[in-house]
Amino acid sequence: MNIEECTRGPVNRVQIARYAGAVDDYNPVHVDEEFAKAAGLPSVIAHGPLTIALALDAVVAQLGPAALRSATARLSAPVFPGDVLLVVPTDAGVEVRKASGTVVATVALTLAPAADGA
Amino acid sequence: MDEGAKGRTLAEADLAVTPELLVRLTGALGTDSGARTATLVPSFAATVGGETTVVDGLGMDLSRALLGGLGYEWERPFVAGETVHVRVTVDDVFTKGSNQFGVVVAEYTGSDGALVQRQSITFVERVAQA
Repeated sequence: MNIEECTRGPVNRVQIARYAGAVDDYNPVHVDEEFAKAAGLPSVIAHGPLTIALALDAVVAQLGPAALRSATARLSAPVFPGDVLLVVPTDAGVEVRKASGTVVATVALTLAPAADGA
Repeated sequence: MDEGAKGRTLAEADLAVTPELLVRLTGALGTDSGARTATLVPSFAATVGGETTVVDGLGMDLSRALLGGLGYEWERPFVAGETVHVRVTVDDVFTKGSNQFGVVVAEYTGSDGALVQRQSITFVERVAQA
């Protein structure tokens, strides 16, 4: 994929709360620390679509929104406040990793022909 | 999850893509390119028909469920101030191994009836222990 590796974040609690407000998704696992801990998590987690939106934002920053035709994302690990997300190009799209190397999402992309170098 | 839900329409509505919505989304992204990205990734799934529409429509037990994947097919970005029509349907419900999968699709069309974008959300629910 013809994009440069870049970072997004660190993700923070205010950002998660702002995203919850923007999409009206107040699932307590995203906004209620006590609920998240009772569920066995170390803290609240970012919405999966926020993680994907940040990955897509890294692509939009380099290629523009018109370059994107489709995205198919698989979420594989939660993102916590404080996590810096590394957006790494792959053959099929981008991979989102934490600083530890944990892959949190894999995003297959279809780009417009001009953006894909075709 | 309710495997009989496949093909069911969960909600249908006209929605205003307000400038305020896009500004809120831009603020949540918090990047220089956020305003452009925001036109691609608004989600109304939680608001169309009420907060529990998707959960109830799939017959999902949230205590055993998580978000497994997302898909976007874009025809064009959303435009601030436009009204779009959205139809939310259950595309598939199936069991694989010890998990159930539910795929919900939201199709957004513009005032001319043309598709703006198609979003799919895949939920994964662990099968309840006997």
